Amino acid sequence: MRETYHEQLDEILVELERMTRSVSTAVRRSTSALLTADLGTAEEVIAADSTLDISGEAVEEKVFDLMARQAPVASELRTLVAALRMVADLERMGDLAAHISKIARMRYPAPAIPTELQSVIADMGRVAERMVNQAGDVIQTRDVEAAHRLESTDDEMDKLRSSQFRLMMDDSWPHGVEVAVDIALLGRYYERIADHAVSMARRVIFLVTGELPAPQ
Amino acid sequence: MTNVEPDLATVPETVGAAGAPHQIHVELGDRGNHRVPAGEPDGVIELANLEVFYDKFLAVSGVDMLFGSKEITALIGPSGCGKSTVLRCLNRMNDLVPGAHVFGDVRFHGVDMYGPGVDVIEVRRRIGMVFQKPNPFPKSIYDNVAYGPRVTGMKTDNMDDVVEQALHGAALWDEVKDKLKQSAFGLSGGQQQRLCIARTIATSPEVILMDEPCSALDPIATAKIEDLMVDLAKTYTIIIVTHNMQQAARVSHRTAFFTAAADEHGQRTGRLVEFDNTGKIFGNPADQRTEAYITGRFG
Repeated sequence: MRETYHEQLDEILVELERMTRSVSTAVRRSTSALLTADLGTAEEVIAADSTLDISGEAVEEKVFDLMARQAPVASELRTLVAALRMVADLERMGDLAAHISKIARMRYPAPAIPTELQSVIADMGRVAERMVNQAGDVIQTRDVEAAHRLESTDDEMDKLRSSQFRLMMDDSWPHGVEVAVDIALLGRYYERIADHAVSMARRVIFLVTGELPAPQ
Repeated sequence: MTNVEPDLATVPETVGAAGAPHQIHVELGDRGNHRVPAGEPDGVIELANLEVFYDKFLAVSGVDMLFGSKEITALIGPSGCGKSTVLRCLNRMNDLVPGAHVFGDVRFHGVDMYGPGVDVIEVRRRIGMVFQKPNPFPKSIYDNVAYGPRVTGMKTDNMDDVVEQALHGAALWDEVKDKLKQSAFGLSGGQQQRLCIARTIATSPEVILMDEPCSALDPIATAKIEDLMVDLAKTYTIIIVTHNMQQAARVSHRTAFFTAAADEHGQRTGRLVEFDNTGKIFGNPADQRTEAYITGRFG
């Protein structure tokens, strides 16, 4: 009985890690769709988001059932509470990745990103994807040190965001309002994905240590 | 209602030597308004409009239930709600209570358990029982387990094998294999209770009834019995009465909640309030009374 229950707890974390890898794939493919004006890939990422939502609901149901039936305490309780928060993070990250693809779709067949802004967007995409993957690693290893490191890599995203703003605020901005809005939104989406990855790492710290680190 | 001979003495054997029950096809027919949970189980015991009187006192009324094969069904509810009374109807243990009368249908694979010509000993062999307090006989460990097969005249090639298998089945073998001839009273409470489970399964029953089997045990012995129940449910149908709601939540597939309602004369009669999948009962019960009981606001 207790054995089955502990297996079920482990399965929830395995499923969360699997979902994290899907989100990372979605971020990578969205960025690629955006930079290469690839409508097919954009559509696929948008469609895959509902699969992620279904996985999230399934995890939520399992957590609910275990809470109702097993009277979880201590690390078991922390695992389930952390899992509920991480599921919400993952669903939101999936939505944000789909939003990126929607901008690619909206501008198609024109590329959404002017050439001189491609590298900053590509960098943002790379950082976001890496952070999501690191969140997956942290769920898998429950490595508190790695979780703390992920919190600090968030600075990299903040710097990219600042340089992006500098380009947009330049008086000589030649691309008009529409592109400015797209770029501002995309910056926001990548930044939020990174924030959710950090939030997941914080939930793992809570799961392992019982303490939620103070927000940086 | 049924196309099986209404005589338990003539019911074909459902538990083979290897302990694997054969499937018997029984037409249960239209169940009308019986309370059957969603995802209807393959029924073993069926109750229809069950009423139990102790002399003129109506203890339980209007119980309709279907117990699923190889499932753990938990009966919960406050004291006096009739859950133990219902459990005792399932192998005619109420026959031993003076003044007890059972009305309505109690069917085992469709056969009326209270019908004429039913062999009560056969009923109790097929539907065994484990009680609240471990009650080993004042005999050796070996003789406790061998008792059932001997008195029911079970044909066995080798009693040693029967005893060993039953003790394995009750997760007790490793702890007692070197002292089978010693008195059962030398065992701890938890071991005695597992011995009683071994004694029950030694007669190859199909159903095991448990009446608060852990309430006299500490948490570690309780956890062992709970693990054992989950294992046993792979082979047997288990019906358990428990005061420990968390135990019902942890181990059972389905849960029935009973409560007692007083009539105008202040007579309290037990009734089945809700019977559903355990996750539903403890996650989102349909009846306010179930919610009040499991959240500790009543009873």
